[in-house]
Amino acid sequence: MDPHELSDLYQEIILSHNRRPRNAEILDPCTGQAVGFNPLCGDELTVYLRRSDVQIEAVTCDCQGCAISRASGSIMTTLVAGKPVAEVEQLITEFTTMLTGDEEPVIDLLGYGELAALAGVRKFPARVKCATLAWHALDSALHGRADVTTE
Amino acid sequence: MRPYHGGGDMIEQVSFEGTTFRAPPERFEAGTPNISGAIGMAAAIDYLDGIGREALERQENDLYAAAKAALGQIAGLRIVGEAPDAVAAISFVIDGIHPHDIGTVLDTVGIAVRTGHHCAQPLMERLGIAGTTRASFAFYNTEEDIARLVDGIHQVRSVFGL
Repeated sequence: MDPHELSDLYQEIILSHNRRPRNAEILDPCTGQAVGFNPLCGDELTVYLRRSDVQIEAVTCDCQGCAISRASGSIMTTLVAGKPVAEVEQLITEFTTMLTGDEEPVIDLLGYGELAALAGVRKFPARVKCATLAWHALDSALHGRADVTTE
Repeated sequence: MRPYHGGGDMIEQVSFEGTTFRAPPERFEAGTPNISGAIGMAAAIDYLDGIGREALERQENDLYAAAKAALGQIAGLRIVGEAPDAVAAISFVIDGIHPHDIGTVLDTVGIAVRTGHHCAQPLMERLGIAGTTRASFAFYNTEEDIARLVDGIHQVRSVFGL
């Protein structure tokens, strides 16, 4: 393994969100919530969501897990708040495709913001589910499903 | 009971009128037996007997004691499990670093460990930890491997800014 790939994975942005996850509290009141759980590794998180018909007002993510899952959930909360629902749904698809798609992604750093820091997870197949867990849970919370497992 | 699938050595008679099967257990053991597996296992047993079981145990116990002493020196690392008659496997936690992150970093320097619940989730809950990292030693490991593990753990701490 190339040591550069390790520093791709654990970038300072990710370490910072891991140390101090943003928006990690319970959102009250909220319009939706969903639990994300990976039984194989034990990562567990709850995504809380407050939205109108067309817009995400706030999202929080309470996560017990590894640095990748914590950072991904934390970055997610900062990125989707205030965005139109349709745009967030597209972002969920783009992000999961970025990590799991066959093609090497061409990242528009400006468009993805801090999320681009998670692009390196692609090279660690065993860790992809850590990065996508919060996003699957957000998708569930948006569509009224109570929980999701990445297994 | 009818066999669940067909193959060599489970048939008794086959004709256009009908088929009969051998008595159990043969009728349930279709196909070529795992002959190469049995020969391989015999070779493994001969090899282990050639070294001697006491010598194997001594080597593993020595590695265990050395690894425990070496890991115990690392700041922020706590060994989980203090049974007096432990086999040569050491579980540990490092403050502020999740076991899966430890495992990923160790993997990149060529060290394979097991991480997570170890099929003992209730125990982890009782201990109040997310999981552990577990390094295990066999007789073919060396003191040098322990030194590499210690170096690897220092690298983990460095990646996480500790």
